[in-house]
Amino acid sequence: MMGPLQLAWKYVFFHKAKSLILIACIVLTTILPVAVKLLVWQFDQKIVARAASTPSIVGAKGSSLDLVLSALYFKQGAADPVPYSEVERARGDGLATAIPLHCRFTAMGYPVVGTSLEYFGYRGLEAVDGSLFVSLGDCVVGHKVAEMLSVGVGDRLISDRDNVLDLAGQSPLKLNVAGVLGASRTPDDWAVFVDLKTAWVIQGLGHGHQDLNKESVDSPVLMSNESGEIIANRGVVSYIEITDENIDSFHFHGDTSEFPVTAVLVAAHGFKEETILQGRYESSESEVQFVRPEIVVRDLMTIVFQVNRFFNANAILIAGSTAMLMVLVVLLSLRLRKREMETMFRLGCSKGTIAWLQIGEMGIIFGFSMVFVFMGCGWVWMVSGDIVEGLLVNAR
Amino acid sequence: MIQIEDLRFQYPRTEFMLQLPQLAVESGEKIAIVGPSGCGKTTLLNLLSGIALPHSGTVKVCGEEVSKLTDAARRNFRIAKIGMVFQQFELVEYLDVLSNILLPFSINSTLSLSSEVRAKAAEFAGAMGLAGKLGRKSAQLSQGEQQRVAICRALITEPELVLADEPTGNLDPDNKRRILELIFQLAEKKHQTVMVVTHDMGILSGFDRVIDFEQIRVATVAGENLETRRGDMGEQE
Repeated sequence: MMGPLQLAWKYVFFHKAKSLILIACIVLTTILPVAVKLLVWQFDQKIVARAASTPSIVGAKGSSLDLVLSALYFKQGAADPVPYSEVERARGDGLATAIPLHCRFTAMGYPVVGTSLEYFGYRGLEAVDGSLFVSLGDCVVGHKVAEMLSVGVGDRLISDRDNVLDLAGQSPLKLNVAGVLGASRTPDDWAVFVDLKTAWVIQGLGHGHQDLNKESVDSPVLMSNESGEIIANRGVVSYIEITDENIDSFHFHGDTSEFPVTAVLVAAHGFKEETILQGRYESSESEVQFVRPEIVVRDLMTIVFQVNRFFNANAILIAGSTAMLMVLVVLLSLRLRKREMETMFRLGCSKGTIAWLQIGEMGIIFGFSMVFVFMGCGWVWMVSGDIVEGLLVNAR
Repeated sequence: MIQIEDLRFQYPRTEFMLQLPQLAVESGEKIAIVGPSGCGKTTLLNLLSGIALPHSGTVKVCGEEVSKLTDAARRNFRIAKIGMVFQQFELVEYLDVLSNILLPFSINSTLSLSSEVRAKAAEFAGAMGLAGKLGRKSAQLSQGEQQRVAICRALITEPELVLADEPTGNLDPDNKRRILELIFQLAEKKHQTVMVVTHDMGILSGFDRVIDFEQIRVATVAGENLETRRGDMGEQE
């Protein structure tokens, strides 16, 4: 059987272009649905794992999916904010640990997440370099952010302006990188974490400026200083960086309990406590909702799998069409090679051997195709985690 | 070597019929078969090689009655006893010269491809002036070279009978002469019988006998015995 196989190999090798086109057809037809299946599987694994590690979320009423995406993937502007008082309410007399999340801003294109130190313990995140944020203006960068921006402890990150065309708007804030988180292969790798109060400073709800009490009466920035009420003009210096020297000048105007947070992660201390909390929110007439991310994400995945079924049907049809075209190519090829086969028959070749020759050629084509398919699938398998992570991160 | 008696053959759905009352060829003879197109020259070669089977009569080649062999035995008989050369050379385009010469060994499990066979193929090619071209594909050869490769392929199995269908049909006069000389030269070494179908009356001088198929058909229609002439090429020309 070696003779026909060798001849088959020589035929395939001689007709490189034709063979490569056939291989490409088989590889593309096979690898696309397999790759999509792998990606969907990875997507399901990642998104469900992230959701499952987050028992419940409290946030503004509206789309539960937007709320979950905001809380899990730091998607900006997806969900309306709720007042900080909801964090206290979610703690529910000690029924749960409530972690605020405020995800409205970005720094160098990466989401700035205002939260509390409890978030790191809850997600199992640790600083591999430096420490977690300790004071106003500090930030802790995710593993990928540090890698992509080449920043480390002691470096500065500047928050992006909310609206670059609004010249009178809030100035960017220089954030001091206090630490770098270890890799977690979650969206946390792609975020910049600050204390919730720092997030509010970025939003303009708190600020620091030169101490007007220390200014002399004839200071050019003072417009009036009568009966203890100081009015300054636009010349007053506002700080865009929080330092040891100016940190005491930072202050908030208004009631912090009314300040915004995007969502509240709620980790009840037990099933009973969670049920009590859920009952409170369901019976409440307040403008907030209590959602279980895993349920929301599984609903989303049900839709994704339904769409995937259409894709699979499409892939089967394409595979069928490709198979029919391949049969046509083989039949036309046989017709073109009729004289060659006739010559072989005249030289004493059996019809069985001629069939083996054809089978060998197709076998080599399929063999190579399968090698490329396996290599491609292996590559997709290796990078699918990163691709899905990138998709989820970029979705924000 | 060849014994034919009362041969009748007809292709399905055609009016053509080959009738050959008698033909005997001795071992080592060089026979030319001439005649107009469609008179059955190539059909005779097919009948001798067992590719076609007679409707009646007997075709004995190398002592074997070809029509009585099974398909497999007929194929083995063809491999062992017969070498074939075609007008269009019929080389396999994706094989190099050496692989084309060795093709019968690649496609027949009854033949084993040994180093001796390879050496013999290289020697044949050398004798044909193809020594430096063993690695070339057929498209890289001239027509004369291609036909020489085809002759090597036909003779590599050392057949007792060499059947050549218009082997010089596509060649220039110089190449025609050289190709025939090579066939005869190699065949004489092994005392092989050579039967060549040709339209070309200019190449008949080297043959022992010429069979004119037009005369056979005329003779058959008239109910006379077949007459063949030995050594009368001069008269024909």
